[in-house]
Amino acid sequence: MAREDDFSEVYRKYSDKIFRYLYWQSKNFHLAEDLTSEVFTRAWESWDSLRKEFLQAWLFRVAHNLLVDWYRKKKEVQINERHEGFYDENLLEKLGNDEQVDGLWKALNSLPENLKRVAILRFVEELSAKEAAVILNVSEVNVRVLQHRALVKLKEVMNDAK
Amino acid sequence: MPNDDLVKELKIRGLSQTEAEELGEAAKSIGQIGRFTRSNEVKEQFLIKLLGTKEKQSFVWPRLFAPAIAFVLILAVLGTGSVVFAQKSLPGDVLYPVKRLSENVAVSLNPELEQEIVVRRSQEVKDLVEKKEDSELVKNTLDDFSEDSKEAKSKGHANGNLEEGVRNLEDARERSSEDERRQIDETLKKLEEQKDEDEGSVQGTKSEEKEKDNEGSNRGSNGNNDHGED
Repeated sequence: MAREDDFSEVYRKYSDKIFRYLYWQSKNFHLAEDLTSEVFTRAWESWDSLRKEFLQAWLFRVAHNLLVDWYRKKKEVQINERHEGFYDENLLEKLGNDEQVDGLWKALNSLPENLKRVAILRFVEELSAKEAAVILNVSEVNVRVLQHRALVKLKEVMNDAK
Repeated sequence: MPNDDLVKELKIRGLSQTEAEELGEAAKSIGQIGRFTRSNEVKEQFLIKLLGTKEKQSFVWPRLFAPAIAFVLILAVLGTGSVVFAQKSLPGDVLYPVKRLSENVAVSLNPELEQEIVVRRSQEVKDLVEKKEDSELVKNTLDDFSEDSKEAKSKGHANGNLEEGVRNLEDARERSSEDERRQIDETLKKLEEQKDEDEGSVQGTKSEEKEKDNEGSNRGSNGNNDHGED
């Protein structure tokens, strides 16, 4: 059971990160859960060949590609068919009623896509610039430039909303 | 990412200490709002679906088939003749546990046999009383009868054969000692109460439905309707 145990540990450690990354980009709770399931299903299918030292980056990249693909082709039906859909309805309700969550979404949504992704990885998930650079396939310097821009803009929008 | 590191990075980009700290605070509040977690239940459900569980693989299968495995082992040790013979045994007999085990196996394969088991228990009470066996055995078998009838009823299997069970208990009552009679009366009373409760709930539902249907037409009548008595 070592494989299953290792995978379960990885899922428990990273699935919230992947879910939030997808949620804050789409603000579609059910889509985020479906795509999270798809990311980890693919991870399990490729488990033996996955390089564990780049696991986090791999998971975020697959999540990102799936989201882009979904927006491009609207693959919702196929994804829902593959996953039965276990959703944390209490969390969904909580997020729906939280003004701060709504404010953050509006602020993130005001950013261009590349800044939004950097902001989520750096400020929400608190990944290092190096980790974010690997995930986004850009240089660390580039991440630092983008995060600064993102932060200035976010602060501006969040202050306006107060 | 520790907040201090971000402040340092921002200062390297030419921001003043105050500006960098302000942005650092903004980043901190973004993290606090944005970092929610899903319930463990949702995560475990996904893992169970994708991987199955240890419990499923290691424990559930044996648990499901435990009665059948035990039955086969008993068959191997005692031979099929013993199991057949055990069907006539009564509480207190050596082969009685074999009879109960074979019943469990039969019910696990065909749940509808549960009502047949209830009748068996009542027949055993009757036989024990006729043979003037120990009252304690009668009492235990009556308890088993109550348990089994409750179980069968909860699964919706008891309707047809309960009457036969009651008849057996009434026959047993005729021949029983005073102590046993009291126990049989208690069991019958419990059954009767259970039956009344069920009928009451069915009637209640029917009368509620009827009340709704007749609500309009009953308005203006003498107002003395007893909907429970049709």
